[in-house]
Amino acid sequence: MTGAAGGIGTAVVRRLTAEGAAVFATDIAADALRVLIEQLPGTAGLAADLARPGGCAAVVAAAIRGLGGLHGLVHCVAIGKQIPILDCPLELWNQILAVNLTTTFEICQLVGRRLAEQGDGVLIALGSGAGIRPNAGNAPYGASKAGLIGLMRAAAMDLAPRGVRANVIIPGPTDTPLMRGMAGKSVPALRARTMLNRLGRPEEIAAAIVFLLSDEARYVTGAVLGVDGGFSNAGVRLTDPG
Amino acid sequence: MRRVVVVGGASGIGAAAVVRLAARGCDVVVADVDYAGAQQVAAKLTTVRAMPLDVMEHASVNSCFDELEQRWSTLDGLVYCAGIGSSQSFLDLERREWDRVLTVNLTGAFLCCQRAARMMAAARSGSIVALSSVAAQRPSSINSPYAASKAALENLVMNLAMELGPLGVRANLVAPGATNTPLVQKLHTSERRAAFTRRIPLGRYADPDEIAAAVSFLISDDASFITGQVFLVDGGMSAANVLTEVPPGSGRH
Repeated sequence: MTGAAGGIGTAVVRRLTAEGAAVFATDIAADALRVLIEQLPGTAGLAADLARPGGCAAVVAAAIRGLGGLHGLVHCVAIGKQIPILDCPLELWNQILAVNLTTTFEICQLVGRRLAEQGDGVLIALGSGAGIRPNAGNAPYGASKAGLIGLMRAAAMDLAPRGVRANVIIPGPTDTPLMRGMAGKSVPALRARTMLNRLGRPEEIAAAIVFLLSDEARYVTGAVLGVDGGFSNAGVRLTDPG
Repeated sequence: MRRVVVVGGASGIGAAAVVRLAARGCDVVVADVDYAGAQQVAAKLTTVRAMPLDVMEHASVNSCFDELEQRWSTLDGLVYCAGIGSSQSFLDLERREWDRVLTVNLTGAFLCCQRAARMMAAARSGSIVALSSVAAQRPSSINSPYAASKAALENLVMNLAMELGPLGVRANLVAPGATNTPLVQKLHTSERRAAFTRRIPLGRYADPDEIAAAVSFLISDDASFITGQVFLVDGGMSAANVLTEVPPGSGRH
């Protein structure tokens, strides 16, 4: 699990360990990661910046050593910045694409090799509705998330003959510290634009991820599943707060 | 736990869904125009009851749901699995065949979803899953009324999700690819089967239980934040470009 110390990541790690899975957790936030691992027996981990050269390789190697093997990857690492397209410096564009898309490619390749060798396993990456329908100021972030969908579908095509599945989950507005920090005053608007009129709980995202990792989903590959209260598919509600 | 009605549950994906939901501890009503078939499915499972239901007849839908409301004060789930295809090509397609397919696949879904959703909205809780198809994504040969009905069904269920979401009712679709159901076995000639299999990255048709697993997930509380979605369970078929040709024999179970 990458991004394991975040709101969604923590819920996924908890749910997986509760179901008897052995989890290797990684995050750039070393202190939060250590606290998480201490709380959950059967979990190992390594703090790392996956976007730095060698970061992904170190984590995957440590995971394989630590767990004695791998069945799946849940990748939840992204950076974002609201910036109008006319104002976005090339350096920022490159940085967002590198962290959000290229890192996804790198870690999926490293884990994918292991899974392909054994003829079994699942790659899951977390996407964003911005990759399908962006807000204003979403050009680099939205493009990276659209690219992520294309990447995971392409991975599904390459890896299907090897017995490995690849899918994307798009979490909706979820009640995490990161989300509240980013959205600030627009939380009520986000809530009102989900079909269910509420934010999601991290546990709800985790439940869908666990389903996709399981044998129950063995015919699911190349899929993009929104776990977002209908946010990504919602049209205009008459009482739209605007 | 949960009270679920499976319309079209006498065979195929519907029957597999009944088995899965019963195994999860649900009370299930299996409603089908094939009442004998529904009774056979119910016979092996103690928490499952059969009811006759012809979705082509509005009166039949009403009497089925009237009885359901009598027996069950609440309804937690509806699975709409009733569906028929056609082997008539577009140029030969008869008006009555078009009407038949649209009535079972779309209008029947509207009627059943409406009755179910009224019960669910009153309780501020419920989950509806309708069966769509990869056919709704991209057209294949000789499938026009079926494909059109499924595309319309996807939109209908998304509208339902939009209107009823604030009332706590979720609505989604599972879109299978090629699945080994009696319907498919009837319609897929060996030539068609070979053509489809070449386009499925996982190299094989699905077992109905693999689709039922996704249905059962969406009905359950594990999917509590999922609504308005088309969940593709198709072995990668609709994500694949036409240049993807799977080596023969690469499918695995």
